[in-house]
Amino acid sequence: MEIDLKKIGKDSGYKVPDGFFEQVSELTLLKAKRREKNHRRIQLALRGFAVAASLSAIALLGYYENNSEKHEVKQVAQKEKLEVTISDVLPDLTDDELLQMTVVYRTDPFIEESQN
Amino acid sequence: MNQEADAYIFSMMKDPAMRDKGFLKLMDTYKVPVYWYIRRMVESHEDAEDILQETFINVYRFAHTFKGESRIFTWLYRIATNECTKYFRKNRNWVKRGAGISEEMAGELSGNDAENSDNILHKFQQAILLLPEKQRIVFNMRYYDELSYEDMGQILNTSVNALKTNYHYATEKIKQYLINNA
Repeated sequence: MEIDLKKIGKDSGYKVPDGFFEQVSELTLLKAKRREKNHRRIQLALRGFAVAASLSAIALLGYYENNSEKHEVKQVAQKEKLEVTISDVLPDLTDDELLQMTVVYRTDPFIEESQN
Repeated sequence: MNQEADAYIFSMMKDPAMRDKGFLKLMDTYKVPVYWYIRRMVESHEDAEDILQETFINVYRFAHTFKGESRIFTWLYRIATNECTKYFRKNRNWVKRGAGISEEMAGELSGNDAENSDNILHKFQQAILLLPEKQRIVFNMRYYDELSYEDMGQILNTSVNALKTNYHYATEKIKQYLINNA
């Protein structure tokens, strides 16, 4: 059995709704314009987000730098503080504080132990 | 459509003041053949309409990138083919429906009644829809749109020999299907 496809013809037999071809151009143009507008909005939003992210990064970096400087200053201060002797502090103490210190010195058994 | 008219349309589309007018002219010139090309690929009108619109929306967005090295219709067919391929990837079970195509397509074919649903045209379309994707594309381009192998080669980025082979296998499969289902 030999079949000649040409005899079947070019009509695929599919139906198209009435008025489809008349309307589809305008509809597509509307969609294309809307899509372009949305695309621009998304691009603008992304750019804004990128700027905000960069600014946040700069701020965080600044904060970190500042904090590490503060931390260094604090460490130096603490080191200096450790090197302060008792005679540097005594003039600043009130009479009550001096009395309390004396009492502690006399009654605390561990002070003697540590001195020995 | 001659190349001068195509060039004029594209010059309109590249001018911001004339862009929309140029787009409508381009669409009015090519929407019918591009629609039918897509419709024969995907079968349903709704899907064909979506893909047609996507095709021309891409044209609207990227018209400024068209360098005029190929003809407009080959460019349009390439975009439409890519959109159809995307559709097939999204709807992977589309081809696998196999036996289901007959009933579904019966509703899409004109003169849908019990007598007509059994005719040769129906079976012919069924046979085309059952072809592998590439063979279906090649068969539709050659049989319905009567494109030359050279133009098809530009659209599909495939050698003429490979296209001829695809077309040959497609026609053989269709004939075999028609014989088996006579």
